[in-house]
Amino acid sequence: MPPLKYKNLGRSGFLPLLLVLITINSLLTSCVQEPEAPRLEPNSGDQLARVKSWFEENKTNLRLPERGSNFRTESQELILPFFEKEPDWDQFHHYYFPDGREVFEVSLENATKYFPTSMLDSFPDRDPAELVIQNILFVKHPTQERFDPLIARYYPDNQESLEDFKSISYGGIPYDWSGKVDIWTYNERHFIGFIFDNGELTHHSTYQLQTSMGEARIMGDCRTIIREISNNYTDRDGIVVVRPPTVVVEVVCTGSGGYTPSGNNRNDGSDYHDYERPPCCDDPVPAPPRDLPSYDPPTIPSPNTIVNRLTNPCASRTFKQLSKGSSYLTDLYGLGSLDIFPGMLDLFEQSGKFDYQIQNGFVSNGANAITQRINGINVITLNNDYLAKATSLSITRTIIHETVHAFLLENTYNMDLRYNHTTFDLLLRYFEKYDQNWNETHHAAMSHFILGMAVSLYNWDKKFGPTGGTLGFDYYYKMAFGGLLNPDNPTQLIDEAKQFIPSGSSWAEIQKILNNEATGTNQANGTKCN
Amino acid sequence: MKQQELIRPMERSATSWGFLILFIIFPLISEGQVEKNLTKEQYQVIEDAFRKSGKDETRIFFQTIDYKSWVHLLYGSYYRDKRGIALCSFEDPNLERAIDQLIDHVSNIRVKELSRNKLGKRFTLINDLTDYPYLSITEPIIIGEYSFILFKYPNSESLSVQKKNSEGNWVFECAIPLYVVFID
Repeated sequence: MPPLKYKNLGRSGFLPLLLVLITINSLLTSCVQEPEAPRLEPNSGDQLARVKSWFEENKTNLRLPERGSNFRTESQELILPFFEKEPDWDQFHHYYFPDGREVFEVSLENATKYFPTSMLDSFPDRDPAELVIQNILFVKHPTQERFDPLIARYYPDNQESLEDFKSISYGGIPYDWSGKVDIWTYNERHFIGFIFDNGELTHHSTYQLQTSMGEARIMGDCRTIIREISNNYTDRDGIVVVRPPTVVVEVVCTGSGGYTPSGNNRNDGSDYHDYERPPCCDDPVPAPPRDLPSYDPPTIPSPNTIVNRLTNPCASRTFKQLSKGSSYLTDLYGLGSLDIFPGMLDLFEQSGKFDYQIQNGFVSNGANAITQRINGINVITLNNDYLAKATSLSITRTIIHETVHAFLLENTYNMDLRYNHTTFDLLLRYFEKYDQNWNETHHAAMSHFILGMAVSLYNWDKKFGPTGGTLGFDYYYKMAFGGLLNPDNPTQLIDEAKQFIPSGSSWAEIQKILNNEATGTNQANGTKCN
Repeated sequence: MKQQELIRPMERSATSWGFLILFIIFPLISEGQVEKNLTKEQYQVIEDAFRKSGKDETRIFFQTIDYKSWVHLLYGSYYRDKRGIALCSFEDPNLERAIDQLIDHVSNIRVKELSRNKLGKRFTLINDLTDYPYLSITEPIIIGEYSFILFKYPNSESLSVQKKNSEGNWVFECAIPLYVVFID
């Protein structure tokens, strides 16, 4: 791939601009994965056939008896909208829970679709039923030859969070998704709900019938909300049928909640909360006897998403803003489509693995940040000392730089991304050139992302940053050179990056900009991020 | 005075015994640290590992290291899946078999001194572990048509895999990073 070089585009003619755009297109196709059907290991088709066969054999026993709906009403159990139970086996996700249990998540289309009444307000011009995604999870039992089914419903909160089947699963909540994931047991009881705000799991919730006392037990940082559960649904003719709602108490607690079972603690400190259905207390009347095999809801972890563990408010806010991305470079002929940051997060998402975590903490040697792979997760740590003095512009640059490290690491370990030959070949080429030293390899490969990193930084500043993108693209482009140092001589730029220095500029000038922003001097153009 | 005269022969005797013990033990200690030399083929593996180096000079620790615990990372599902491990694909089943056998070979690696005369001019042997940036390596392990060297840098450890081609040269096949920290 020919190297990308930014050369004062504003003064260039049309032909050079066209060449740049063509090159950008090449880079984009190398960076952003095309959406495609779920990728599976060679034996996944056979495995799915095994699930299907097991389900066909056992589904009758798993279901409530025909009198199920009456039973539930009479017993004063929580009445919840039922679902049809014939999965669409052609659409499925395949992944594993952190404890190694295999999961197949299969589309479960309903002829009648249920949705929360709040969706009518969120999507006044749409039929909410069309926006709900409902799947059935088959969780492989750890010791027995059986699968424990659960139902997942995904209710988006806003237009930006509308997803199709391929884009969302319990094993992969989009990093910027807002909405609610409700999990139901196969025998039609609510299990747990998870509330996401911009990809962050903020609350979890359970429902209880409103008792005569009108109170619900509250534990920890929880609150109760009296809620009407809509029984409205869209019938086969597309007409919304309004039914009397069910009044329930929703218990909403801060955080992902749950408990961490002993022996499953992960050293990287990331969440692994398990949820088990309370053994008795939500069921005033025991469930009716059923034929074997019995159905017990499985223990489940919280849904998987990119983990933002930044406790520094400014850095956390910056990361969320950066994740949104967009094409703001309208004054540069659409170069905004080169915004690589959200594209890289998309790759983590589309690969079905969220091997990405960002946090702040103590970093030795006075470095701004470190990126390392811990227990299979690419963990970025921003130095607290750096965050205290740097401008938000510098911090944004660093987050982008470290995310490229994480992206390249993921390309190294995740074989599902291996078809991305451009990045793969870049890594191999520099790996041999730099005597199999990964630090130099990454920084040499990263030189080919300078323009993309600059666009991400520019877009962020234009929409969210302190200057509104008024510094001129040249400034952001120069900042994208940060960290691309020669380890043999750490004050100098790595060779591969030198060719991309804009004409008329020098490394010394770029260094000065980087230092000013990193230390928040009065010559910095950004503002301190504290 | 007599007491001192008695002590001196005893001191001399103790000193002699000390020298004798050292004389016996020293070769044993040396044997434990530097057992024997690398073979010609192993030197060839090292040489070929840097064939495409873009650097004028490679600074390398003067001994191979007997660091072994890394090998366990190659097994289990932590890095590995059915199709391969990191940058290494198991399209050639011989590579998977060689990696499976690697653990037995790694248990036998020793500290061996690199001979300046048997390495190309590009190599500079260093003996100061604080002389940054340095590279230390294990002795090359050859299993069939594949060879393996662990590259250990201050912030990364990576297993390098080479395959012997029809001309008898070792050619870079793939690598498995085992530990990497990027400090910016």
